[in-house]
Amino acid sequence: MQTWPPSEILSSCFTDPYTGVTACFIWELDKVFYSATFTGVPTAMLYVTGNVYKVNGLLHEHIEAQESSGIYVNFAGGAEVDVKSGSSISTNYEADIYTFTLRKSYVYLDYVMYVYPSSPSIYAIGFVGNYTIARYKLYYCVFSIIPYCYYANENATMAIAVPILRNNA
Amino acid sequence: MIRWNYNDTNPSDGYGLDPIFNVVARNWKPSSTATSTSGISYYSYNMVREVNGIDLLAAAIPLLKSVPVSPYIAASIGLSSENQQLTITDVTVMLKNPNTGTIYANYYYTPIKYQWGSGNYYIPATYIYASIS
Repeated sequence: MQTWPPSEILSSCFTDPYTGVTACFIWELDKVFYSATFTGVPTAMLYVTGNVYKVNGLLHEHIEAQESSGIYVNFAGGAEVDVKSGSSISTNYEADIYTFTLRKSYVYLDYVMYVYPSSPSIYAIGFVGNYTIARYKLYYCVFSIIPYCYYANENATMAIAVPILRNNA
Repeated sequence: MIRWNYNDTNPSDGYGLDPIFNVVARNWKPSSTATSTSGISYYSYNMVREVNGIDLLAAAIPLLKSVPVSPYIAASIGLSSENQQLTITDVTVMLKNPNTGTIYANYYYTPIKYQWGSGNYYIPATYIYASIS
């Protein structure tokens, strides 16, 4: 497993067909707002209030990759991306800057929690994982004989949650 | 993967799960309220379709810590394709005795669309608010 939070995220690369020089956009870690390892990541929650003694409930998660049918599990970071252009900044939200994908059939988690509330409560289920909220800055790096990078005027403030894999599953 | 669960029986003290749930309840969009005198179920498979989202972004994970960033920022989990059996998350609330009360419930989804490839999509959270009368 790489360092946590990720110190850099490769965006895209190009190779100049004439010079053979490769250049890449790379997100570099700039500021960590929060980071935790082996922490609970809630995939579902139930907040019950009012006459809660009248009800019961269940929370269920099913996370399964199926190699044979090509179904994979995707963990996507979500980012607010600020693009600077002159003195103005435009903002959009992107979910495909950082992704973590599990494709093997042994990836499996199926868990049900039944709840019988006796007072207003919040219930959560999820998985144990690594989590961070961090800001990344986009650089354009040219890997010529003397490599150099320059700031590409984009920042991404991102939340990332990936599971801890036990026995690779 | 390793499962995890938590119960917060004091959901207005600012500790435990309420700071996380409140990020969503106060800043995201609620779905329309569903009403039932028997039971209500929410499946990520269905919620993604209701908000015109995609299965790869099926279940949002809102900010787990209060830090000075946009409350719209969310990680998420999804499958390359969900179906009724392979749905990531679901939550059900049932009356123990039907017709002895009413359940009012809703889920939440991101108030902004997230870009994925060439598309932009809302991401639902299987974070359910249920009020019982």
